[in-house]
Amino acid sequence: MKEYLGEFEELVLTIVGILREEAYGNAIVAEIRERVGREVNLSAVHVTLYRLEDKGYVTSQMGGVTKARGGRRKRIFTITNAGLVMLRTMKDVRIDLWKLIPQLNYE
Amino acid sequence: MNKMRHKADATGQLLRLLEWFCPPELYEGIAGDLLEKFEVEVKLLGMKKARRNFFWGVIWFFRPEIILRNKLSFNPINIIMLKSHLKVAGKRIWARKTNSFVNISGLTLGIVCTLIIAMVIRYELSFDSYHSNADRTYRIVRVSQIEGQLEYRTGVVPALPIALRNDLSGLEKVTAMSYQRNAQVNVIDDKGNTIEKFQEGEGCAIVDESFFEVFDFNGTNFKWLLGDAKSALTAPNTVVLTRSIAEKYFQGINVLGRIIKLEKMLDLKVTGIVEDLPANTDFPFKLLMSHATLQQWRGDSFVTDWNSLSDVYQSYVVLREGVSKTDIEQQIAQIHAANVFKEISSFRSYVLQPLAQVHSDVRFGNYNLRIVTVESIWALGIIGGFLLVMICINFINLSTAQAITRSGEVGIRKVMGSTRWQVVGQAITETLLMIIIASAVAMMASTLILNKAQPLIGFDIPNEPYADGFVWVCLLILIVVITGLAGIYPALVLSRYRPVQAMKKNLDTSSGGFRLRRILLVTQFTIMQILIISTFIAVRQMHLFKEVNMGFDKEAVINVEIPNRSEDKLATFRNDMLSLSSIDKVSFSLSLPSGLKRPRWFWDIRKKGTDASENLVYEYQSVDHQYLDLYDIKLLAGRGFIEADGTDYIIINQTLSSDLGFANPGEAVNSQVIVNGQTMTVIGVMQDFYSNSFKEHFDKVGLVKSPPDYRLASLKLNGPDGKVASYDNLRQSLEYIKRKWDEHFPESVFTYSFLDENVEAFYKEEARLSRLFQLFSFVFLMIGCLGLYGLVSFIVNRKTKEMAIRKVLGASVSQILLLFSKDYLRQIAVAFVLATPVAYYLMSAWLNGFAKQIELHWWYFVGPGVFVLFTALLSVGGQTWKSATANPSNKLRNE
Repeated sequence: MKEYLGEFEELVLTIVGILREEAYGNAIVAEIRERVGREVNLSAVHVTLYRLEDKGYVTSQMGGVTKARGGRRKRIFTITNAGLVMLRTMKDVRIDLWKLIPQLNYE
Repeated sequence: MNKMRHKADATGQLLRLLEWFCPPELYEGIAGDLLEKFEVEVKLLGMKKARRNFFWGVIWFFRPEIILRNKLSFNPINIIMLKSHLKVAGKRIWARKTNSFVNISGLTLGIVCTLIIAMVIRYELSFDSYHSNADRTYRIVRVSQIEGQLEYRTGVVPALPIALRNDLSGLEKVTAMSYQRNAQVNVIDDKGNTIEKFQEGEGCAIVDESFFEVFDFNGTNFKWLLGDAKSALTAPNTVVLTRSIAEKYFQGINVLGRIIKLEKMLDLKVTGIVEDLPANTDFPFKLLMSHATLQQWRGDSFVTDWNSLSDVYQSYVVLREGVSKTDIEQQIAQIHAANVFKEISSFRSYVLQPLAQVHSDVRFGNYNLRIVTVESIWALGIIGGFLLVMICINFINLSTAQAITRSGEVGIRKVMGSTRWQVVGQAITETLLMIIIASAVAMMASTLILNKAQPLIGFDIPNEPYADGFVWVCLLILIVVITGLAGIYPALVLSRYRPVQAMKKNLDTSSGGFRLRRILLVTQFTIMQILIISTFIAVRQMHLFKEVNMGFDKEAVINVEIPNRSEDKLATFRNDMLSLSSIDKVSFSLSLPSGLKRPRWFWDIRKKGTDASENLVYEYQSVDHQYLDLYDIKLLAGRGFIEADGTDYIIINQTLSSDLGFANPGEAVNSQVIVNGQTMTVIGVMQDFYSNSFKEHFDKVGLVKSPPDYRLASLKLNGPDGKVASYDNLRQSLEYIKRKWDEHFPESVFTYSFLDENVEAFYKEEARLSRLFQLFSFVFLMIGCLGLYGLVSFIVNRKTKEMAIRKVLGASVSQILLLFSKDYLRQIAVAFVLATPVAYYLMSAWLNGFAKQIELHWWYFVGPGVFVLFTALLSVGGQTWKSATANPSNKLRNE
């Protein structure tokens, strides 16, 4: 594997995949809070998104104008094919590794 | 509506901050997210909390991942403007040479001094800070409560470190060491013959094998060249040498196994060579003997000795991580109490002193005999800060005064479409250019100055300034700070001009911060006068140290160490010395009346018939019958020693007499006292003399005539005409003494010292500070006058016509002089009024540190004040005088 993805990067990338057209900063923070129960800082999410964009796993464009947000547009992120491939590879690798652990029963 | 505005107020400034550091392409998305979160939170949590979260939200974005995404955008317009700014700035600096010279030289002077101050402060703070465990290392010091007064000493009993090492689990390491000044070292060849003799004034230490574990000199150049820390210092009669000492003795460092003889009696084998210890350590060791040597020398009783104390025998400990200092102190107290008599443990306690304070706490000494207090570091730092303020004030004064001449330029710039910020940019570029020129000059100057100023500063700065990263960082900070302090205000003043007004030039000199200039000038002169008055008083006090009567005669006395104490040897030596006409008197003694470097022994004394608990500690001195006469120490009652006196007579000083409970000196004479268990008769009471520096009071002193304890000979010189010997005379005498010495004691090295220098050594640190302060006063005066000169020459130039017209209308030269000077005179007077109380307060606090101090006369304040006034008048008057005496027609003609 050439590129390496950190744990938090992977989490954010997955959430971007889940949220689709609604993937912008605040929504991602809320989604992580809801699904993972983890409180993350908005700035951390933003920084991670930009880094993922640099690596080519997400793209972004500005959304439509709304009255909320002081009239400022949202920056919407979408997962790219490379991002999807990356997520899938990571998942596969993890499952392969998981299979190698002696299956113990905790009964 | 109202609510919305409120919201906008709450977020507006922070958003602007965000916009400033955030890359523009990311700004909208980030700001939107933050605002959205804010709007939700206002409803959920209320305004106050939401605002706080918003604030932190913005601050969290201030992180390198975001900031570094800013692309450096090179707007071509900016580059062109920068070029033009630089060109204009260069031309202006060149065109106004006087002004630029005044500005740049003031800046240079200030930068040089601030840089040197920064280097000095860093050096003083760096002492022994580099050891790996420095923050957990403590020295065990001794605090005794004696008659209501606390006595602070460094020595510990030899048994204490051993007990601590065995019994205290909270200590990671314990090390004990001792130190010897003035040791004779003979270099021995294979056959046991002495090749060469050396006298080492400093650096002869005794350390145990844990010394280099506690003090690892990590991060300095220190390293083991030969041998290793584990084995080199374990066996008795071994020594580790530093590189330079090895080279001095053996002309090389490959000398393991060679023998040196210490003090003509102890053969030591070289078992290790280390790199020289750094200059910034309070362990200035050059020869490090193994502690086992001392142990063997002193015998088995040494390790169980809970009584003998010497201030050079010190112990350092490293606390384990997480162990508190007070716990250890309590445990030490318990161990101490279990091993000594109750009387001793009741008044004497051992305390842990952090390693960092060994260099700065005046109550205890260190092996370097050089203590730099935290206060003097602060004083230096404050002076550095004031220097910065001074040069900034100079700059602001000159720039705002001259802003007027640039009004036309500013007007045109604005008409041509310059924004206010571009005008500011232009002005700041000029300031920056000047500061950079000054910095470059300062860098060169400080390299030159540092080499010359080392005796003044009192130590070697190892690095050349330009090779030292720290200096460059300081310089960069200085440039930024000075530009900020000095550049921005004048630039703002300048850029405020309205184009039309500016081009009409109907602005007068009072615009552009005339009132501010006054305030700044007063501030500047206040600082200057505080410093100058303080320096003047400090110099007077230093003078007192040298001149005042200490209670004995310290002039023209040479002290020589004597190696052989047999009575007939001393008698022949004395006769030989007295045969020289320039030697007036000779006396033998254990110690000297005073001086930084002298042996000090302390014994117990009490009145006969009292209990042992009444014992007082006093300084024991053994002297011969010539001593009182030679040092001209006055007797208040009784008699001095005669040659026939035995060892059971004692002469005590006034303080000891009254502390023993004698109502007056007469009562003490012929009474019996018990000294270290032995009964003695008091035969005389002498007047008190200062056996310490003036920082302390009189000590209790007792003299006994006990020849086996003699260590020193005092030689009183006497010039042919009865006065103190001249230099040539002195050299002749010294040569003669050395010749005779070599005859009498061929196996020893002749060393001598002058008593007055030995006494002055008490004030080495004060003398150094006083010299530094004198230098800085001069620098402050220079900078202040330079600024004044620049300001006045500008104003005089502007007002030549006014002067000429006044003259034509009949004003006299003196009237014109007064008219133009009185404003400055008034400001200097105001500054003097402000400075006097501050200086008075500061200097009385400083003087309170000395037992003997000068009185603060009124003229100690007025004198320096008049001096400043006079200097200022010179710098103002010269300019004004030239203009005022010029022929008015010349000035008025050219229009």
